[in-house]
Amino acid sequence: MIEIKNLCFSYGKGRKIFKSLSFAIKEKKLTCIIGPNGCGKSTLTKIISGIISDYSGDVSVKNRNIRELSFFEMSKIVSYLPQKIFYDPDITVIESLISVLSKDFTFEFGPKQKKQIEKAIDRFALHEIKDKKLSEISGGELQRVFIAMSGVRDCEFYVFDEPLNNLDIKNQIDIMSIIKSFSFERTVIAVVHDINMALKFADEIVFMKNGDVLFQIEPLKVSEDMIKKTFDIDCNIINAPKNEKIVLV
Amino acid sequence: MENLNISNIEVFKTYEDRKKIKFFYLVVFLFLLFLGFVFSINIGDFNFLFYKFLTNRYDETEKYVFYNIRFLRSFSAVIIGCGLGLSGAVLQAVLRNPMASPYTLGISQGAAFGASFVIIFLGGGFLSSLGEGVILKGYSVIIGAFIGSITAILIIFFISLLKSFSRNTIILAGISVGAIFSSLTMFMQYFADDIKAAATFFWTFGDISKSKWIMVYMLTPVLVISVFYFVLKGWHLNLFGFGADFLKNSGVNYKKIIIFSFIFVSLTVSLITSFVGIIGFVGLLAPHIARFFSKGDKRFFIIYSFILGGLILLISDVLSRKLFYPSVIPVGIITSFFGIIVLLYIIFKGYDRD
Repeated sequence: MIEIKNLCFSYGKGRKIFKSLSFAIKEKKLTCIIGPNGCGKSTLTKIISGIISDYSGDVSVKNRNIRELSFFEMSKIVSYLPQKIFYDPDITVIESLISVLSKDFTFEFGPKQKKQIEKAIDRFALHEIKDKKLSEISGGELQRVFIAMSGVRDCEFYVFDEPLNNLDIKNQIDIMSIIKSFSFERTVIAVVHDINMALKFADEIVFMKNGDVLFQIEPLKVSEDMIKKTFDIDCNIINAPKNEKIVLV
Repeated sequence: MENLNISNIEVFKTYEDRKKIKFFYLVVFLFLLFLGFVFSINIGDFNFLFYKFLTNRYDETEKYVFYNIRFLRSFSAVIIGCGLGLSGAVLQAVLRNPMASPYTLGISQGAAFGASFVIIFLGGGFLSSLGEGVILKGYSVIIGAFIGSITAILIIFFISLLKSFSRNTIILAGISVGAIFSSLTMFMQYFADDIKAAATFFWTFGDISKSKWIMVYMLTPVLVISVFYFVLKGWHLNLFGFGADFLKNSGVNYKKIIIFSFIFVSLTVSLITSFVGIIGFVGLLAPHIARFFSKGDKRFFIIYSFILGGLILLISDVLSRKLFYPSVIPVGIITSFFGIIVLLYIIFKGYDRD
């Protein structure tokens, strides 16, 4: 479980992001965070992943305060995929995966890493592109590689900040299916913008606005009123087959 | 995700094949360096014959010339080039900026300021006329240059520290610091008398012939330790390419790598610049050629930059002695000329990484 208590944070002397945020994220579930731009979604993922540390309040992961964890311990517990990720155009897919798993002061990877990489290439269907440069593959494939770079690490928590950015609908569903498959054994938090993606895949949806959690609810219980309060838009929710809901804006 | 039937034996095949090719390049580069070294040692009015030397058929005077002039010059060219190439590669990898090099970070300008200060205000280094050029003697100038370059890099380091090592901050800080030191140097030259101004001017020309054994003894161990360190950190240097947020969660002790990089670069560049003057662009040129052969693999990028730096400076030094024979021109002029061509190539290739 990830527990957040009285979280306060602001960037420098500027805008205050969190005034006093408290909520908890359940284990072995896919939690999607949605909310308008600038409501603190990305900042929250950065705090949970240990990227930002100058906050006040407490964040604990599996009953351990993350302040007490070193950057190395943190990397073994939480695997984080940033919203904005750069890449060296010349590095290949397989080299990217090796880099993530490589140990300190080694020229070559060991048999354990080799097995992990083989498994990841199967799991994320990277056989076709494994020897291509990152600059040679499509946006959807690139995002799958980044998800694989996070997923290849054996962590208990996976945090994805807007993993569906700039993807077409097919790739969005593919990526969300992969992310969903993580949550059968591990805890996954994903920031998404498409409410329908959240409704289709999430086990729980967190509605955020102005640094506060407005609602934390199962997809089936999401109402038009909640979306109205979060985004200030009118919409209709219709029931779809297979016990799913669709939001029409 | 139904690909489980595909044989896993082949997963690493292309990777391993490419690695073999990269090792082949490595052997080729080392061979070229060796050839260049032998060729370079043989350049000069006195024709040394290697077999004669090896079979001990030269007398003491000839051996003295060989060791302290020919060998020192060629060996210095190699290690200075290796040091500049490695510095450039490390800076580019850590800062994720293909424009980073000791020269563009203002370290060389800091050294020039330190040297000029000692020459003009403390009367350090006395002038002696030698042929068509003016050379400087005395270690006070070297110490001044060393302090100047260390000061420059400390300023850049602290500016960067305040801005948590953002890739563009360091380059901008470097350019600013370089400009400040350059203007201060020019200010001093303006008020200095002609001879002293000329001395500071000549000092800035990078020239391998100013090299001394003591620099070789100090620089070699720094380089040997560093090249091993950075090659073994190659995989982690790859992760720098994915951006700060990814790096911070990756479990890599990136701060340690950054600090070690700064210590290495400042020591190496200060030592080199304080002894032989400013040799620009080798630190920019070598990593760019290295990147062409190593692709995304930073292990090979580091070792290639190291060897190619040595090779480039060795060739430049040969050119500087042969091009206008019997005149010898400072090697810094040669490297700058080729460096500018590479810089233009980078601009035209449109290096746009973000």
